Amino acid sequence: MASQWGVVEPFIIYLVEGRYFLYDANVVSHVREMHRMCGCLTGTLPQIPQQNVFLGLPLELMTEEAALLVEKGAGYVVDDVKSHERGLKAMMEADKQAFLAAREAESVREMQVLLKAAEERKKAYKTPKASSLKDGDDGGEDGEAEDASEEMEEEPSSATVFDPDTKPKNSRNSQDISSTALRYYPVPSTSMPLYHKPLPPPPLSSLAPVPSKTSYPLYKHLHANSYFLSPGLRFGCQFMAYPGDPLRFHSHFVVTGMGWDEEIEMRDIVGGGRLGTGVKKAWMIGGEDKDKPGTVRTFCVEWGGF
Amino acid sequence: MTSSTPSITITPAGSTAAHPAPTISLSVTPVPPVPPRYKKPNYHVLHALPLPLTTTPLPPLIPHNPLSLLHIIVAYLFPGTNSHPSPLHVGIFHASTHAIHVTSQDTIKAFWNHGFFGKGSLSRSEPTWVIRRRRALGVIGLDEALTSEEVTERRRGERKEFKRERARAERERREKQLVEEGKIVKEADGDEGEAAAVVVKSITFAAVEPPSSRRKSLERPAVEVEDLEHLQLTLEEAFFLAFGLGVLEIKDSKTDEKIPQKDLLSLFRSHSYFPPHTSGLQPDDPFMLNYVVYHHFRSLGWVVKPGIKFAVDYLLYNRGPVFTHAEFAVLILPAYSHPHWDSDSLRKEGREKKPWHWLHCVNRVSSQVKKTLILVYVEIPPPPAVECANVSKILSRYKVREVALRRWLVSRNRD
Repeated sequence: MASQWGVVEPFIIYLVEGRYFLYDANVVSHVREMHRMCGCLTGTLPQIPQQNVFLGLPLELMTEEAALLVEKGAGYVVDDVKSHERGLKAMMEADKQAFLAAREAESVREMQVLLKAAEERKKAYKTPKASSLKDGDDGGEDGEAEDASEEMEEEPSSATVFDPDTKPKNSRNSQDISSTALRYYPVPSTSMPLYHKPLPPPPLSSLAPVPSKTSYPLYKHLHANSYFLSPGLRFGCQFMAYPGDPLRFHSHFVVTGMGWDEEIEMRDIVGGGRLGTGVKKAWMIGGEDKDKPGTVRTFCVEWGGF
Repeated sequence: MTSSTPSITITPAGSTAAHPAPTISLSVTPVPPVPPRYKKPNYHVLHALPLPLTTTPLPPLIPHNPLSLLHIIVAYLFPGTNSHPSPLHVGIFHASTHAIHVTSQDTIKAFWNHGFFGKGSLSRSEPTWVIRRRRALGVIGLDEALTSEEVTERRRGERKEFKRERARAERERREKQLVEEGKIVKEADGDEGEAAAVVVKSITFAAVEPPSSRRKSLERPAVEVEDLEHLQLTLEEAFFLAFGLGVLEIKDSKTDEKIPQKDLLSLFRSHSYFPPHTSGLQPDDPFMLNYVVYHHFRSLGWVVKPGIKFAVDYLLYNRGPVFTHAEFAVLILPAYSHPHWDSDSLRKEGREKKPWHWLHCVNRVSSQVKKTLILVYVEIPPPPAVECANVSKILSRYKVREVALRRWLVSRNRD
């Protein structure tokens, strides 16, 4: 099934050092829209690397989010490092050549587009001048040869070395420099097309860090009740529960998962109540009934002294 | 309030230039004078002694007067006053509440005023129930001997009133501006008549008492209120008073007999569990952990009070709760670093390790109330080979480490 983002499920969730990542912006959008999961942007923005207020790709998923995506069959986990190595080893020489050729062709194509644009800019700049001067300059020649610039490059430069006129040589020189400088090779955000061609059979149930038994049922329960959950470590809880997209809503609950028979200290109940009520939220605890798997009970605590 | 007739105050709103003041006001009550703020008792005198012990300084040593040395020797060997009260203060241990009850007024006063021990069973902190009760019955005046609960209540009321007033003023200012800018049209226009322009701002009715009750309130009722409140001491406080200071004698509520001091520790340790353990006391009993920390800070001169309301174990006051707010919040964490505990995964994993979000929670709560969190690690010794009865020896096996923890934000903690 493909969404408007052109993402085909199951997509790959990359596992790096025990953390789950999504590298593709389309997958990130897809997951947010179709699966109500926001994750956490963790990458530095290349334009402004000296700040950490705004972050970019890759997106790190919570363990619970990754587990639920795998459980739903929407994604499957791939160990990024291992599959990278395997892909490199399994790659044939022909594959490599084909990839390099494709990359070269793409680069040349892009360069041509850029050159054309540059020529057009130049022409637009020169035309009024040429029309006013009309002194039979080399400029007219250049204008004629603009379509054949590619062929001219291939010509040996010896023909022009003895050219008495220095002006066109200069311009050609600068063009040479610009044509090499304009060559650039885009770096793809994922290594998928190259290394992950032979996809491992989905769904791999190889979750390396398994979500905790106390928090996962509660996560699933709240997610099923159409809450958005985001990690709440810095707020002193496991999850923050938003009634809709976090960009539109404030969170209503600070959520902590508990075991069914787990003992809670009185002190921690007071702390939770104060924590939630201090920021106008409710502290929620919940856990799965150990006799009836799948049944989750939740409780909210609010501090009455405020 | 002196006037006995109901009075109505009607104040016109807006400028009175266009609309002269209406004449409907029946009687204008004079603006009541600002009530004099209740004067607090002199806490520095009341709580001068840090502990319920009386100490007498030795006479000064004057080098050129050899007799002064004699004075010192005499004063040292034969002190004029006993530092401990005789007979000792008495508390009653109740197994049902896991607390020590103190009913004697002298003892309550001594323990509260000198060291802030315990808590009134019907009060928030200081036992003040009888004062509030007497005020409610009219035995004492409204502003006489205000208790801290009442002061807090009044302050909260004043703040609420202030906020309401501020919001009202803000709303009026905004409306006025909107009218000036012509964005809204004032409902009451001038041609509708003057009466309509008068907006009743506030109507105050003076409290009316039936004549009989008024006469009664003139002479105060002479009922004597029986004090039903007692002081509750936690097990740690009581043990500190009994063992650390030696000013308290603890009796059992059932037998009404004195509990010998050597039994006290094991009794309190077994009652720090719920339900109480009868055997198998461990070196990491809640009572041992708490008492080690309590004794540690008390002996360093802090006033230590339970901190359950701020989700910590203890609060440290510099001099006492009547002087300043508590500056530090103490969280007790057992540390099992002795090799004996290496194989004990229940303690190593279960009690020593806590999740990160728990620490963030506690830290946020204590920084919300502007307290510095102090993590106190108590090194748990291995269980003794032979159970020894000497309390000092048992306590000396414990070690205490402190770590202060604060939330630090780059943008907020710039100065």
